[in-house]
Amino acid sequence: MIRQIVKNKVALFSVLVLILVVLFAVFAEFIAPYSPEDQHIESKLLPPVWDENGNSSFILGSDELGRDVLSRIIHGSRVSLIVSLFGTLLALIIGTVIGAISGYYGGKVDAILMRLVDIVLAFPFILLAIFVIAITGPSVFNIIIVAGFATGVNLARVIRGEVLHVKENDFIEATHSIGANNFRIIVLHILPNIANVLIVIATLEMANLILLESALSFLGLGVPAEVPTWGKMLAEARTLIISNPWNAIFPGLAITITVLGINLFGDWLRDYFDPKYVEK
Amino acid sequence: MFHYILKRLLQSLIVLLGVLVIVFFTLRLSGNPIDVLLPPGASEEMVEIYTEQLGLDKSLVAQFGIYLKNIFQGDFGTSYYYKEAVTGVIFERLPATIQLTLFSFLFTLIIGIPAGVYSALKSGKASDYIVRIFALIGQCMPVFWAGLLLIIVFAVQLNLFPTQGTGSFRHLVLPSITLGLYSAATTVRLLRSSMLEVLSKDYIQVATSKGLSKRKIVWKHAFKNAVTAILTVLGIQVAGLLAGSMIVETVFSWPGIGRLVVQSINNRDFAVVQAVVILIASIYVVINLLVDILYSIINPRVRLMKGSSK
Repeated sequence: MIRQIVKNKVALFSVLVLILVVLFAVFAEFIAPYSPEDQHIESKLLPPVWDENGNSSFILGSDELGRDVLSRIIHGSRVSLIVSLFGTLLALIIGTVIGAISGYYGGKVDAILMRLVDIVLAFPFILLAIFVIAITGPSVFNIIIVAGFATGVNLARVIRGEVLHVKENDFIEATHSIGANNFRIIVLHILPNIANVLIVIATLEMANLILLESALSFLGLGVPAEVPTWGKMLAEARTLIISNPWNAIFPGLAITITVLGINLFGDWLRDYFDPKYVEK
Repeated sequence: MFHYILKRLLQSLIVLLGVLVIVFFTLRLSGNPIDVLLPPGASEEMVEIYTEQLGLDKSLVAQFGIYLKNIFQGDFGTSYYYKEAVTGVIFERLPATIQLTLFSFLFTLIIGIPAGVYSALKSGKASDYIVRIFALIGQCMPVFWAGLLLIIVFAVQLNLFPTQGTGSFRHLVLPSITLGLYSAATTVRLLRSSMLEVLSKDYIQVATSKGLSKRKIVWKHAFKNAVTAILTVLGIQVAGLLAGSMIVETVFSWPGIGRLVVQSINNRDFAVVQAVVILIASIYVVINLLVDILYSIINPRVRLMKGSSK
Protein backbone atom coordinates (compact mmCIF):
# COMPACT_ATOMS: atom_id res chain seq x y z
CA MET A 1 0.00 0.00 0.00
CA ILE A 2 2.74 2.47 0.95
CA ARG A 3 4.59 1.72 -2.28
CA GLN A 4 1.37 2.41 -4.19
CA ILE A 5 0.96 5.74 -2.43
CA VAL A 6 4.52 6.86 -3.15
CA LYS A 7 4.09 5.95 -6.82
CA ASN A 8 0.95 8.07 -7.16
CA LYS A 9 1.68 11.80 -6.94
CA VAL A 10 -1.86 12.77 -5.98
CA ALA A 11 -2.02 10.13 -3.26
CA LEU A 12 1.37 11.20 -1.96
CA PHE A 13 0.23 14.83 -1.78
CA SER A 14 -2.95 13.90 0.06
CA VAL A 15 -1.16 11.72 2.59
CA LEU A 16 1.47 14.40 3.25
CA VAL A 17 -1.30 16.97 3.84
CA LEU A 18 -3.05 14.63 6.26
CA ILE A 19 0.17 13.84 8.16
CA LEU A 20 0.92 17.56 8.42
CA VAL A 21 -2.55 18.41 9.76
CA VAL A 22 -2.43 15.59 12.30
CA LEU A 23 1.02 16.71 13.45
CA PHE A 24 -0.29 20.28 13.78
CA ALA A 25 -3.19 19.10 15.90
CA VAL A 26 -1.21 16.78 18.15
CA PHE A 27 1.88 18.91 18.70
CA ALA A 28 0.30 22.37 18.35
CA GLU A 29 2.02 23.71 21.49
CA PHE A 30 5.46 22.73 20.21
CA ILE A 31 5.04 23.72 16.59
CA ALA A 32 3.23 27.05 16.95
CA PRO A 33 5.61 29.97 17.45
CA TYR A 34 3.25 31.66 19.98
CA SER A 35 0.29 30.78 22.11
CA PRO A 36 -2.86 31.34 20.01
CA GLU A 37 -4.18 33.77 22.60
CA ASP A 38 -1.03 35.91 23.02
CA GLN A 39 -1.86 39.49 22.08
CA HIS A 40 1.08 41.43 20.68
CA ILE A 41 -0.40 44.89 20.95
CA GLU A 42 2.51 46.57 19.17
CA SER A 43 2.07 44.39 16.08
CA LYS A 44 -1.62 44.35 15.16
CA LEU A 45 -2.97 43.54 11.70
CA LEU A 46 0.38 42.67 10.15
CA PRO A 47 0.41 41.33 6.59
CA PRO A 48 2.33 38.09 5.92
CA VAL A 49 6.10 38.10 5.85
CA TRP A 50 6.49 38.43 2.05
CA ASP A 51 4.53 41.67 1.99
CA GLU A 52 6.74 44.77 2.22
CA ASN A 53 5.18 45.65 5.58
CA GLY A 54 5.52 42.11 6.85
CA ASN A 55 7.38 41.12 9.99
CA SER A 56 9.55 38.00 10.04
CA SER A 57 8.36 37.00 13.52
CA PHE A 58 4.74 36.78 12.27
CA ILE A 59 5.03 34.63 9.15
CA LEU A 60 1.36 34.76 8.17
CA GLY A 61 0.73 38.12 9.84
CA SER A 62 -1.41 38.97 12.86
CA ASP A 63 -5.05 39.81 13.53
CA GLU A 64 -6.74 42.88 14.97
CA LEU A 65 -5.79 41.86 18.53
CA GLY A 66 -2.18 41.22 17.56
CA ARG A 67 -2.50 37.45 17.72
CA ASP A 68 -0.25 35.38 15.46
CA VAL A 69 -2.28 33.99 12.53
CA LEU A 70 0.00 30.99 11.98
CA SER A 71 -0.24 29.92 15.63
CA ARG A 72 -4.02 30.21 15.55
CA ILE A 73 -4.23 28.15 12.36
CA ILE A 74 -2.03 25.44 13.88
CA HIS A 75 -4.16 25.32 17.03
CA GLY A 76 -7.37 25.60 15.00
CA SER A 77 -6.66 22.25 13.37
CA ARG A 78 -7.57 20.56 16.65
CA VAL A 79 -11.28 21.31 16.72
CA SER A 80 -11.62 20.48 13.02
CA LEU A 81 -9.93 17.12 13.41
CA ILE A 82 -11.67 16.17 16.65
CA VAL A 83 -15.11 16.96 15.24
CA SER A 84 -14.52 15.19 11.94
CA LEU A 85 -12.85 12.14 13.50
CA PHE A 86 -15.33 11.48 16.29
CA GLY A 87 -18.30 12.62 14.22
CA THR A 88 -17.37 10.12 11.53
CA LEU A 89 -16.84 7.33 14.07
CA LEU A 90 -20.26 7.97 15.55
CA ALA A 91 -21.74 8.13 12.05
CA LEU A 92 -20.17 4.80 11.17
CA ILE A 93 -21.66 3.17 14.25
CA ILE A 94 -25.14 4.60 13.66
CA GLY A 95 -25.02 4.02 9.92
CA THR A 96 -23.79 0.45 10.23
CA VAL A 97 -26.38 -0.54 12.84
CA ILE A 98 -29.33 0.97 10.93
CA GLY A 99 -28.04 -0.01 7.50
CA ALA A 100 -27.18 -3.59 8.45
CA ILE A 101 -30.49 -4.25 10.20
CA SER A 102 -32.47 -2.62 7.41
CA GLY A 103 -30.63 -4.37 4.60
CA TYR A 104 -30.35 -7.77 6.26
CA TYR A 105 -33.86 -8.17 7.62
CA GLY A 106 -35.70 -6.30 4.87
CA GLY A 107 -39.49 -6.24 4.88
CA LYS A 108 -41.35 -4.12 7.41
CA VAL A 109 -38.27 -3.31 9.53
CA ASP A 110 -36.56 -2.01 6.43
CA ALA A 111 -39.57 0.03 5.35
CA ILE A 112 -39.93 1.68 8.75
CA LEU A 113 -36.23 2.40 9.20
CA MET A 114 -35.91 3.83 5.71
CA ARG A 115 -38.91 6.12 6.20
CA LEU A 116 -37.29 7.40 9.40
CA VAL A 117 -34.10 7.97 7.43
CA ASP A 118 -36.10 9.87 4.80
CA ILE A 119 -37.47 12.15 7.50
CA VAL A 120 -34.07 13.06 8.88
CA LEU A 121 -32.74 13.53 5.34
CA ALA A 122 -35.58 15.96 4.61
CA PHE A 123 -33.58 18.49 6.59
CA PRO A 124 -30.65 19.84 4.66
CA PHE A 125 -27.61 18.80 6.72
CA ILE A 126 -26.47 22.32 7.64
CA LEU A 127 -30.01 23.36 8.57
CA LEU A 128 -30.47 20.43 10.95
CA ALA A 129 -27.09 21.10 12.53
CA ILE A 130 -27.81 24.81 12.98
CA PHE A 131 -31.23 24.12 14.45
CA VAL A 132 -30.08 21.54 16.98
CA ILE A 133 -26.91 23.40 17.99
CA ALA A 134 -28.87 26.62 18.43
CA ILE A 135 -31.16 24.85 20.89
CA THR A 136 -28.71 22.60 22.73
CA GLY A 137 -25.95 25.18 22.82
CA PRO A 138 -22.61 25.17 21.02
CA SER A 139 -19.99 22.73 22.29
CA VAL A 140 -17.64 20.24 20.67
CA PHE A 141 -19.69 17.41 22.15
CA ASN A 142 -23.01 18.68 20.73
CA ILE A 143 -21.49 19.30 17.31
CA ILE A 144 -20.10 15.75 17.23
CA ILE A 145 -23.47 14.28 18.23
CA VAL A 146 -25.41 16.23 15.62
CA ALA A 147 -22.85 15.70 12.88
CA GLY A 148 -22.50 12.02 13.69
CA PHE A 149 -26.22 11.46 13.77
CA ALA A 150 -27.05 13.28 10.53
CA THR A 151 -24.10 11.75 8.68
CA GLY A 152 -24.85 8.32 10.14
CA VAL A 153 -28.40 8.41 8.80
CA ASN A 154 -27.00 9.29 5.41
CA LEU A 155 -24.52 6.42 5.58
CA ALA A 156 -27.27 4.01 6.63
CA ARG A 157 -28.71 4.20 3.14
CA VAL A 158 -25.43 3.42 1.44
CA ILE A 159 -24.64 0.61 3.89
CA ARG A 160 -28.12 -0.86 3.45
CA GLY A 161 -27.52 -1.04 -0.29
CA GLU A 162 -24.19 -2.76 0.21
CA VAL A 163 -25.65 -5.25 2.68
CA LEU A 164 -28.45 -6.08 0.25
CA HIS A 165 -25.80 -6.76 -2.35
CA VAL A 166 -23.61 -8.99 -0.16
CA LYS A 167 -26.63 -10.84 1.25
CA GLU A 168 -27.35 -12.34 -2.17
CA ASN A 169 -24.08 -14.30 -2.16
CA ASP A 170 -24.15 -18.07 -1.84
CA PHE A 171 -21.77 -18.15 1.10
CA ILE A 172 -24.31 -16.29 3.24
CA GLU A 173 -26.89 -18.94 2.55
CA ALA A 174 -24.27 -21.60 3.25
CA THR A 175 -23.43 -20.01 6.59
CA HIS A 176 -27.10 -19.85 7.36
CA SER A 177 -27.55 -23.53 6.62
CA ILE A 178 -24.80 -24.64 8.99
CA GLY A 179 -26.74 -22.90 11.74
CA ALA A 180 -25.04 -19.54 12.24
CA ASN A 181 -27.38 -17.00 13.82
CA ASN A 182 -28.23 -13.68 12.19
CA PHE A 183 -26.04 -11.57 14.44
CA ARG A 184 -23.03 -13.76 13.69
CA ILE A 185 -23.70 -13.63 9.96
CA ILE A 186 -23.99 -9.85 9.96
CA VAL A 187 -20.91 -9.21 12.07
CA LEU A 188 -18.58 -11.94 10.83
CA HIS A 189 -19.65 -12.42 7.24
CA ILE A 190 -21.40 -9.35 5.90
CA LEU A 191 -19.60 -6.43 7.54
CA PRO A 192 -16.08 -7.59 6.61
CA ASN A 193 -17.25 -7.73 3.02
CA ILE A 194 -18.37 -4.13 3.00
CA ALA A 195 -15.42 -2.83 5.06
CA ASN A 196 -13.73 -1.34 2.00
CA VAL A 197 -16.79 0.67 1.06
CA LEU A 198 -17.18 1.78 4.68
CA ILE A 199 -13.61 3.04 4.86
CA VAL A 200 -13.98 5.01 1.63
CA ILE A 201 -17.26 6.71 2.51
CA ALA A 202 -16.06 7.38 6.04
CA THR A 203 -13.02 9.17 4.64
CA LEU A 204 -15.16 11.31 2.36
CA GLU A 205 -17.55 12.10 5.22
CA MET A 206 -14.64 13.34 7.32
CA ALA A 207 -14.06 16.02 4.71
CA ASN A 208 -17.72 17.00 4.86
CA LEU A 209 -17.62 17.29 8.63
CA ILE A 210 -14.62 19.61 8.51
CA LEU A 211 -16.63 21.86 6.18
CA LEU A 212 -19.64 21.63 8.49
CA GLU A 213 -17.66 22.50 11.60
CA SER A 214 -16.06 25.48 9.90
CA ALA A 215 -19.46 26.70 8.71
CA LEU A 216 -20.94 26.42 12.20
CA SER A 217 -17.95 28.25 13.66
CA PHE A 218 -18.26 30.93 11.02
CA LEU A 219 -21.91 31.48 11.96
CA GLY A 220 -20.97 31.74 15.64
CA LEU A 221 -22.45 28.34 16.46
CA GLY A 222 -19.15 26.57 16.89
CA VAL A 223 -17.15 25.88 20.01
CA PRO A 224 -16.93 28.41 22.88
CA ALA A 225 -15.22 31.72 22.26
CA GLU A 226 -11.74 31.10 23.64
CA VAL A 227 -10.89 28.12 21.39
CA PRO A 228 -9.44 29.15 18.00
CA THR A 229 -11.05 27.51 14.95
CA TRP A 230 -10.59 28.16 11.26
CA GLY A 231 -14.22 29.13 10.76
CA LYS A 232 -14.15 31.59 13.63
CA MET A 233 -10.96 33.20 12.33
CA LEU A 234 -12.72 33.82 9.01
CA ALA A 235 -15.76 35.28 10.77
CA GLU A 236 -13.47 37.71 12.60
CA ALA A 237 -11.59 38.53 9.42
CA ARG A 238 -14.85 39.28 7.58
CA THR A 239 -15.48 42.44 9.60
CA LEU A 240 -12.10 43.88 8.59
CA ILE A 241 -11.98 42.54 5.07
CA ILE A 242 -11.71 45.91 3.35
CA SER A 243 -8.77 47.24 5.33
CA ASN A 244 -7.07 43.93 5.98
CA PRO A 245 -7.91 41.19 3.46
CA TRP A 246 -4.92 39.01 4.42
CA ASN A 247 -6.59 37.61 7.53
CA ALA A 248 -9.39 36.23 5.39
CA ILE A 249 -6.99 34.21 3.21
CA PHE A 250 -5.01 31.75 5.30
CA PRO A 251 -7.61 30.06 7.54
CA GLY A 252 -9.70 29.37 4.42
CA LEU A 253 -6.65 28.00 2.68
CA ALA A 254 -6.10 25.68 5.66
CA ILE A 255 -9.67 24.37 5.43
CA THR A 256 -9.56 23.94 1.65
CA ILE A 257 -6.21 22.15 1.61
CA THR A 258 -7.25 19.81 4.44
CA VAL A 259 -10.59 18.99 2.80
CA LEU A 260 -8.86 18.56 -0.56
CA GLY A 261 -6.29 16.23 1.01
CA ILE A 262 -8.95 14.06 2.63
CA ASN A 263 -11.10 13.92 -0.50
CA LEU A 264 -8.16 13.02 -2.74
CA PHE A 265 -7.11 10.34 -0.27
CA GLY A 266 -10.67 8.97 -0.24
CA ASP A 267 -10.75 8.89 -4.05
CA TRP A 268 -7.42 7.14 -4.12
CA LEU A 269 -8.58 4.59 -1.51
CA ARG A 270 -11.61 3.82 -3.64
CA ASP A 271 -9.45 3.15 -6.69
CA TYR A 272 -7.05 1.14 -4.58
CA PHE A 273 -9.76 -1.13 -3.17
CA ASP A 274 -11.65 -1.48 -6.41
CA PRO A 275 -10.01 -0.29 -9.62
CA LYS A 276 -13.21 -1.01 -11.53
CA TYR A 277 -15.34 1.24 -9.38
CA VAL A 278 -17.10 3.85 -11.50
CA GLU A 279 -17.91 7.15 -9.88
CA LYS A 280 -21.64 7.29 -9.24
CA MET B 1 -48.10 6.23 -13.44
CA PHE B 2 -50.95 7.53 -11.33
CA HIS B 3 -50.26 4.82 -8.80
CA TYR B 4 -46.61 5.83 -8.57
CA ILE B 5 -47.40 9.51 -8.10
CA LEU B 6 -49.97 8.72 -5.43
CA LYS B 7 -47.46 6.56 -3.61
CA ARG B 8 -44.74 9.24 -3.71
CA LEU B 9 -47.27 11.83 -2.56
CA LEU B 10 -48.20 9.71 0.43
CA GLN B 11 -44.55 9.12 1.28
CA SER B 12 -43.87 12.85 1.13
CA LEU B 13 -46.78 13.55 3.46
CA ILE B 14 -45.40 11.07 5.98
CA VAL B 15 -41.97 12.68 5.74
CA LEU B 16 -43.50 16.14 6.22
CA LEU B 17 -45.32 14.95 9.31
CA GLY B 18 -42.05 13.46 10.54
CA VAL B 19 -40.35 16.81 10.04
CA LEU B 20 -42.97 18.47 12.23
CA VAL B 21 -42.51 15.78 14.89
CA ILE B 22 -38.73 16.23 14.93
CA VAL B 23 -38.99 20.02 15.23
CA PHE B 24 -41.60 19.70 17.98
CA PHE B 25 -39.54 17.29 20.06
CA THR B 26 -36.21 19.04 19.48
CA LEU B 27 -37.71 22.20 20.93
CA ARG B 28 -38.91 20.23 23.95
CA LEU B 29 -35.67 18.26 24.23
CA SER B 30 -34.07 20.96 26.29
CA GLY B 31 -36.83 21.08 28.88
CA ASN B 32 -39.38 23.86 28.89
CA PRO B 33 -39.74 25.25 25.33
CA ILE B 34 -40.37 28.68 26.86
CA ASP B 35 -36.69 28.76 27.87
CA VAL B 36 -35.81 28.29 24.23
CA LEU B 37 -38.57 30.28 22.57
CA LEU B 38 -38.17 33.32 24.79
CA PRO B 39 -34.91 34.97 25.77
CA PRO B 40 -33.95 35.01 29.46
CA GLY B 41 -35.60 37.84 31.31
CA ALA B 42 -38.73 37.83 29.19
CA SER B 43 -41.69 39.49 30.87
CA GLU B 44 -44.24 37.48 32.87
CA GLU B 45 -46.83 38.63 30.39
CA MET B 46 -44.92 37.17 27.40
CA VAL B 47 -44.41 33.88 29.26
CA GLU B 48 -48.14 33.72 29.91
CA ILE B 49 -49.02 34.47 26.29
CA TYR B 50 -46.68 31.72 25.08
CA THR B 51 -47.89 29.21 27.68
CA GLU B 52 -51.44 29.90 26.60
CA GLN B 53 -50.64 29.80 22.87
CA LEU B 54 -48.65 26.56 22.97
CA GLY B 55 -50.86 24.92 25.59
CA LEU B 56 -47.83 24.25 27.77
CA ASP B 57 -49.99 23.64 30.83
CA LYS B 58 -51.57 20.68 29.00
CA SER B 59 -50.24 17.19 28.25
CA LEU B 60 -47.58 16.57 25.60
CA VAL B 61 -50.09 14.97 23.24
CA ALA B 62 -52.45 17.93 23.59
CA GLN B 63 -49.51 20.26 22.97
CA PHE B 64 -48.65 18.39 19.78
CA GLY B 65 -52.26 18.69 18.69
CA ILE B 66 -52.26 22.44 19.23
CA TYR B 67 -48.92 22.73 17.45
CA LEU B 68 -50.21 20.82 14.39
CA LYS B 69 -53.47 22.76 14.34
CA ASN B 70 -51.63 26.09 14.44
CA ILE B 71 -49.24 25.08 11.67
CA PHE B 72 -51.97 23.83 9.36
CA GLN B 73 -53.76 27.12 9.90
CA GLY B 74 -50.56 28.87 8.89
CA ASP B 75 -50.02 30.27 12.37
CA PHE B 76 -46.39 30.04 13.43
CA GLY B 77 -46.81 32.25 16.47
CA THR B 78 -45.47 35.68 17.23
CA SER B 79 -41.87 36.75 16.93
CA TYR B 80 -40.57 37.95 20.26
CA TYR B 81 -37.99 40.21 18.65
CA TYR B 82 -39.99 41.73 15.80
CA LYS B 83 -43.26 41.84 17.76
CA GLU B 84 -45.29 40.63 14.80
CA ALA B 85 -46.58 37.39 13.30
CA VAL B 86 -43.74 35.08 12.31
CA THR B 87 -45.30 34.42 8.90
CA GLY B 88 -45.19 38.15 8.15
CA VAL B 89 -41.53 38.40 9.18
CA ILE B 90 -40.64 35.49 6.92
CA PHE B 91 -42.67 36.49 3.87
CA GLU B 92 -41.09 39.93 3.97
CA ARG B 93 -37.67 38.33 3.48
CA LEU B 94 -38.56 35.36 1.33
CA PRO B 95 -38.39 37.15 -2.06
CA ALA B 96 -34.75 38.11 -1.48
CA THR B 97 -33.82 34.48 -0.81
CA ILE B 98 -35.79 33.18 -3.78
CA GLN B 99 -34.05 35.73 -5.99
CA LEU B 100 -30.66 34.63 -4.72
CA THR B 101 -31.46 30.93 -5.04
CA LEU B 102 -32.77 31.29 -8.59
CA PHE B 103 -29.75 33.23 -9.78
CA SER B 104 -27.42 30.74 -8.09
CA PHE B 105 -29.19 27.90 -9.84
CA LEU B 106 -28.89 29.78 -13.12
CA PHE B 107 -25.18 30.16 -12.45
CA THR B 108 -24.97 26.44 -11.65
CA LEU B 109 -26.53 25.56 -14.99
CA ILE B 110 -24.65 28.13 -17.07
CA ILE B 111 -21.27 27.02 -15.70
CA GLY B 112 -21.96 23.41 -14.77
CA ILE B 113 -23.54 22.10 -17.95
CA PRO B 114 -21.12 23.41 -20.61
CA ALA B 115 -18.11 22.64 -18.42
CA GLY B 116 -19.33 19.13 -17.66
CA VAL B 117 -20.02 18.31 -21.31
CA TYR B 118 -16.76 19.90 -22.44
CA SER B 119 -14.77 17.98 -19.85
CA ALA B 120 -16.32 14.69 -20.95
CA LEU B 121 -15.67 15.38 -24.64
CA LYS B 122 -12.04 16.29 -23.93
CA SER B 123 -11.65 13.37 -21.54
CA GLY B 124 -8.01 12.69 -20.73
CA LYS B 125 -6.76 15.89 -22.36
CA ALA B 126 -5.14 18.77 -20.52
CA SER B 127 -8.28 20.94 -20.73
CA ASP B 128 -10.28 18.14 -19.08
CA TYR B 129 -7.83 18.07 -16.20
CA ILE B 130 -8.03 21.81 -15.73
CA VAL B 131 -11.84 21.73 -15.57
CA ARG B 132 -11.73 18.82 -13.15
CA ILE B 133 -9.20 20.50 -10.87
CA PHE B 134 -11.36 23.62 -10.73
CA ALA B 135 -14.44 21.50 -9.98
CA LEU B 136 -12.62 19.61 -7.25
CA ILE B 137 -11.38 22.80 -5.59
CA GLY B 138 -14.89 24.26 -5.88
CA GLN B 139 -16.19 21.31 -3.89
CA CYS B 140 -13.48 21.53 -1.23
CA MET B 141 -13.73 25.27 -0.54
CA PRO B 142 -15.98 26.36 2.31
CA VAL B 143 -18.79 28.44 0.78
CA PHE B 144 -18.17 31.41 3.04
CA TRP B 145 -14.47 31.51 2.19
CA ALA B 146 -15.26 31.51 -1.52
CA GLY B 147 -17.51 34.49 -0.78
CA LEU B 148 -14.77 36.30 1.14
CA LEU B 149 -12.29 35.71 -1.70
CA LEU B 150 -14.75 37.06 -4.27
CA ILE B 151 -15.26 40.13 -2.07
CA ILE B 152 -11.51 40.69 -1.78
CA VAL B 153 -10.90 40.39 -5.52
CA PHE B 154 -14.01 41.85 -7.16
CA ALA B 155 -15.28 44.25 -4.53
CA VAL B 156 -12.19 45.49 -2.67
CA GLN B 157 -9.41 45.26 -5.27
CA LEU B 158 -11.26 45.74 -8.57
CA ASN B 159 -14.19 47.67 -7.13
CA LEU B 160 -16.58 46.07 -9.64
CA PHE B 161 -19.31 44.97 -7.26
CA PRO B 162 -20.58 46.11 -3.85
CA THR B 163 -19.31 44.12 -0.85
CA GLN B 164 -22.74 43.65 0.67
CA GLY B 165 -26.37 44.63 0.77
CA THR B 166 -29.04 44.61 -1.89
CA GLY B 167 -30.78 46.97 -4.28
CA SER B 168 -29.45 46.41 -7.77
CA PHE B 169 -28.44 43.62 -10.10
CA ARG B 170 -24.80 44.30 -9.27
CA HIS B 171 -25.54 43.40 -5.66
CA LEU B 172 -26.80 40.02 -6.77
CA VAL B 173 -23.72 38.91 -8.73
CA LEU B 174 -21.21 37.95 -6.03
CA PRO B 175 -23.68 36.24 -3.65
CA SER B 176 -25.18 34.22 -6.52
CA ILE B 177 -21.78 33.04 -7.70
CA THR B 178 -20.75 32.19 -4.14
CA LEU B 179 -23.88 30.19 -3.46
CA GLY B 180 -23.80 28.47 -6.84
CA LEU B 181 -20.12 27.55 -6.77
CA TYR B 182 -20.44 24.28 -4.92
CA SER B 183 -23.42 23.03 -6.90
CA ALA B 184 -21.78 24.10 -10.16
CA ALA B 185 -18.72 22.06 -9.21
CA THR B 186 -20.90 19.08 -8.29
CA THR B 187 -22.80 19.38 -11.57
CA VAL B 188 -19.57 19.43 -13.58
CA ARG B 189 -18.30 16.25 -11.92
CA LEU B 190 -21.58 14.36 -12.16
CA LEU B 191 -22.39 15.45 -15.70
CA ARG B 192 -18.89 14.55 -16.84
CA SER B 193 -19.10 10.99 -15.57
CA SER B 194 -22.69 10.66 -16.74
CA MET B 195 -21.73 11.88 -20.24
CA LEU B 196 -18.76 9.52 -20.39
CA GLU B 197 -21.01 6.62 -19.52
CA VAL B 198 -23.57 7.53 -22.16
CA LEU B 199 -20.93 8.18 -24.82
CA SER B 200 -19.65 4.63 -24.43
CA LYS B 201 -23.10 3.16 -25.17
CA ASP B 202 -23.87 1.24 -28.33
CA TYR B 203 -26.47 3.67 -29.63
CA ILE B 204 -23.86 6.40 -29.77
CA GLN B 205 -21.74 4.12 -31.94
CA VAL B 206 -24.76 3.53 -34.14
CA ALA B 207 -25.41 7.25 -34.40
CA THR B 208 -21.76 7.82 -35.29
CA SER B 209 -21.74 5.13 -37.96
CA LYS B 210 -24.94 6.56 -39.42
CA GLY B 211 -22.83 9.61 -40.13
CA LEU B 212 -24.69 12.05 -37.90
CA SER B 213 -22.87 15.26 -37.13
CA LYS B 214 -20.88 15.32 -33.92
CA ARG B 215 -22.97 18.18 -32.65
CA LYS B 216 -26.18 16.24 -33.13
CA ILE B 217 -24.74 13.17 -31.41
CA VAL B 218 -23.45 15.10 -28.44
CA TRP B 219 -26.48 17.25 -27.75
CA LYS B 220 -29.36 15.19 -29.05
CA HIS B 221 -28.31 11.68 -28.17
CA ALA B 222 -25.73 11.87 -25.41
CA PHE B 223 -26.56 15.02 -23.48
CA LYS B 224 -30.26 14.32 -23.22
CA ASN B 225 -29.65 10.95 -21.61
CA ALA B 226 -26.81 12.16 -19.44
CA VAL B 227 -28.79 15.08 -18.04
CA THR B 228 -31.78 12.86 -17.28
CA ALA B 229 -29.52 10.70 -15.15
CA ILE B 230 -28.46 13.64 -13.00
CA LEU B 231 -31.88 15.32 -12.84
CA THR B 232 -32.53 14.09 -9.32
CA VAL B 233 -29.27 15.56 -8.11
CA LEU B 234 -30.01 18.89 -9.81
CA GLY B 235 -33.33 19.02 -7.96
CA ILE B 236 -31.75 18.32 -4.62
CA GLN B 237 -29.26 21.07 -5.36
CA VAL B 238 -31.99 23.69 -5.52
CA ALA B 239 -32.94 22.72 -1.99
CA GLY B 240 -29.28 22.63 -0.99
CA LEU B 241 -28.92 26.20 -2.29
CA LEU B 242 -31.76 27.24 -0.03
CA ALA B 243 -29.94 25.81 2.98
CA GLY B 244 -26.63 27.31 1.84
CA SER B 245 -28.30 30.72 1.74
CA MET B 246 -27.93 30.86 5.54
CA ILE B 247 -24.18 31.11 5.14
CA VAL B 248 -24.02 33.19 1.97
CA GLU B 249 -26.58 35.71 3.20
CA THR B 250 -24.52 36.14 6.35
CA VAL B 251 -21.35 36.80 4.34
CA PHE B 252 -23.00 39.40 2.09
CA SER B 253 -25.54 40.80 4.59
CA TRP B 254 -28.25 39.74 2.14
CA PRO B 255 -31.68 40.44 3.68
CA GLY B 256 -33.27 37.01 3.15
CA ILE B 257 -34.52 34.22 5.38
CA GLY B 258 -31.05 32.67 5.71
CA ARG B 259 -29.70 35.72 7.46
CA LEU B 260 -32.96 35.97 9.38
CA VAL B 261 -32.37 32.51 10.88
CA VAL B 262 -28.83 33.32 11.97
CA GLN B 263 -29.93 36.66 13.45
CA SER B 264 -32.91 35.07 15.15
CA ILE B 265 -30.67 32.48 16.76
CA ASN B 266 -28.53 35.29 18.14
CA ASN B 267 -31.66 37.13 19.30
CA ARG B 268 -32.95 33.85 20.75
CA ASP B 269 -36.13 34.40 18.74
CA PHE B 270 -36.91 30.73 18.22
CA ALA B 271 -40.45 31.04 16.95
CA VAL B 272 -38.86 32.44 13.77
CA VAL B 273 -36.13 29.78 13.67
CA GLN B 274 -38.67 26.99 14.03
CA ALA B 275 -40.82 28.36 11.22
CA VAL B 276 -37.92 28.78 8.80
CA VAL B 277 -36.65 25.28 9.56
CA ILE B 278 -40.09 23.84 8.81
CA LEU B 279 -40.39 25.98 5.69
CA ILE B 280 -37.04 24.95 4.22
CA ALA B 281 -37.52 21.27 5.05
CA SER B 282 -40.97 21.38 3.43
CA ILE B 283 -39.64 23.01 0.28
CA TYR B 284 -36.95 20.33 0.22
CA VAL B 285 -39.57 17.57 0.43
CA VAL B 286 -41.77 19.17 -2.23
CA ILE B 287 -38.88 19.67 -4.65
CA ASN B 288 -37.83 16.06 -4.18
CA LEU B 289 -41.38 14.96 -4.91
CA LEU B 290 -41.64 17.11 -8.04
CA VAL B 291 -38.28 15.90 -9.33
CA ASP B 292 -39.26 12.28 -8.80
CA ILE B 293 -42.55 12.77 -10.62
CA LEU B 294 -40.83 14.62 -13.47
CA TYR B 295 -38.23 11.88 -13.59
CA SER B 296 -40.87 9.18 -13.81
CA ILE B 297 -42.48 11.01 -16.72
CA ILE B 298 -39.20 11.28 -18.59
CA ASN B 299 -37.94 7.83 -17.69
CA PRO B 300 -40.74 5.23 -17.66
CA ARG B 301 -38.43 2.56 -16.22
CA VAL B 302 -38.64 4.27 -12.82
CA ARG B 303 -42.35 3.84 -12.29
CA LEU B 304 -42.22 0.25 -13.49
CA MET B 305 -39.54 -0.59 -10.96
CA LYS B 306 -40.62 -2.21 -7.76
CA GLY B 307 -41.57 -0.42 -4.58
CA SER B 308 -40.03 2.66 -3.06
CA SER B 309 -37.95 4.99 -5.15
CA LYS B 310 -34.25 5.60 -4.64
